[in-house]
Amino acid sequence: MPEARLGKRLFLQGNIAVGEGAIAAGARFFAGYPITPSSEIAHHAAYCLPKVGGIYIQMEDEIGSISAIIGASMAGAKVYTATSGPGISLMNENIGLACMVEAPCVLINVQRAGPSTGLATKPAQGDFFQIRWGTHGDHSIIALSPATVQECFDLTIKAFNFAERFRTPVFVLMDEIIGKMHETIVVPNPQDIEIENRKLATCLPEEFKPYAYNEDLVPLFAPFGDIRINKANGSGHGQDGFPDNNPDNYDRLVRRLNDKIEKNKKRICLYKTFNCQDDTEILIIAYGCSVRPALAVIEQAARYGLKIGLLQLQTLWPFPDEIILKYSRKVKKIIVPELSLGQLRLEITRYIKDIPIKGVNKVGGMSITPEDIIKVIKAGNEE
Amino acid sequence: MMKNTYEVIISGIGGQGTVVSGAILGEAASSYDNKFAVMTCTYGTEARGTFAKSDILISDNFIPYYEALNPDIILVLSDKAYPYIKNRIDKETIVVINSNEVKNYEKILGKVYALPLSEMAVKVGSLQALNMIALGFMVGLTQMISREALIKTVENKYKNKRDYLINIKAIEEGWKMI
Repeated sequence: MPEARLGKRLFLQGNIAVGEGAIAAGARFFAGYPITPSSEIAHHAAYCLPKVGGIYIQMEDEIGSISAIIGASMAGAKVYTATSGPGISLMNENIGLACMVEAPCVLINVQRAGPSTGLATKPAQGDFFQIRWGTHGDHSIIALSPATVQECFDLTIKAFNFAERFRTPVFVLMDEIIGKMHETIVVPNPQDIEIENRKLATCLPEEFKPYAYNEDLVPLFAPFGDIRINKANGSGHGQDGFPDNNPDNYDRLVRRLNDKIEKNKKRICLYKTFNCQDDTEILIIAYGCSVRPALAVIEQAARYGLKIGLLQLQTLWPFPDEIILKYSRKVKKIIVPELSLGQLRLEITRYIKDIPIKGVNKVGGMSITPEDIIKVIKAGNEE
Repeated sequence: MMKNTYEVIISGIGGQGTVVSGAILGEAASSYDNKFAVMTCTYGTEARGTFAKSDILISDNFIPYYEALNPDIILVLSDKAYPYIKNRIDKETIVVINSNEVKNYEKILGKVYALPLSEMAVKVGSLQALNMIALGFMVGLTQMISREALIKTVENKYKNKRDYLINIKAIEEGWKMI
């Protein structure tokens, strides 16, 4: 990042703020295949990475992109790629490989209207489950979602920290509105940015096991080229990285891959609350662009004589069920605005059984407005 | 009169600088006036010639929603843009019209200011500077950001470019029209 920008108030596009956050977090390798509405992240990487000693590669497609970043990650670099839903569809096979070989990487999905090529320049939030379950097999994953340009910067840094800390792919789930939006952002000074790096193995080379179990559940890392020989094996493997089909070993491996994330939910699940009081009657739960009309509703709530609170989910996966349960304990109704037919709402219904949950759903490629949310709240009150 | 939040719509056709104008307002507000700004844009996949619009909101505080739901001021640079924004105009809306391109503006509701922006821009030295004249006028009229912030932002953005002086002059010309 150009030094002159640090500590300053800027007016940046969300996609550019993601790029700046990536470089501030220490990312030095990007491989990608530009796609609307994420292309500015690739432009930014191509322009800025070489200036800080990093590498940008324009790949032949998204399959090549994910493969390249996994390779660079195993060589020790902090890596990222940016795409939209159609690109994630192509990457899914190797996202599983990244989970299995425990390659830290950050995958930015600026969502557009799907399915298929859909509407290239229009927003959607239809990839909520795609990023969770797109790749096959039992696995856990981390996904963060910004709702402001400031959060684009801040949460991208968090995404790299989580990727490094837990040796896992981490999604930054954006959407066309937040990605293309320009907004005021205060870029922090480097000394105020908390950076985490993967823990490196320090043992003797002959003692090194690339998937050694430890209490932390995250194996110590040795980059390719190190005197300790690392192995990246997508098939069932033992602690030494060699193939191992033993049922007990494989059961233990899959459980560890899940547990290293799911057992750290308290640390990973980030959220914000607005106007959530003891007497809040209506709770809006939202993420990404849908947070913004909800914030406008909160601001006007008093005008309607309603006690409305907002729970903004910054972490989507692992799913913040305990946080949702905590804030919905006393409310009478939950409203879930999203640019999909109810994916977040469906996940919430797995945990909340006794409170009505209403969706505010749009899939035409237009933003949810504060009025859309007010309409659903009012309709419910008249019942 | 100083308001806390200004909602601005800049509409025209691609190539008239609707997005750049919004970005200049936002940058001026954010970087020099210590305010908050947010901008969302609508434009086609074509490079030039079809409807383009940016919504810019400027405030002393964080702005919850990113679209101008109750615009205080609307700039209409082209006839082609008018049909898209006409239902956003009410009696209180300030409507700045490029009278060289938009006809029949007498019927438009709101407080209409008709300026021959295209003509003025050519006189200043470039038709492309019409958005800068409009910016000078709108900022002068509303004081939504400071004059210094606007000039500094344009200086910063264009100082190494050919059209730098034309843009500064265009802002001054617009300002004179208030």
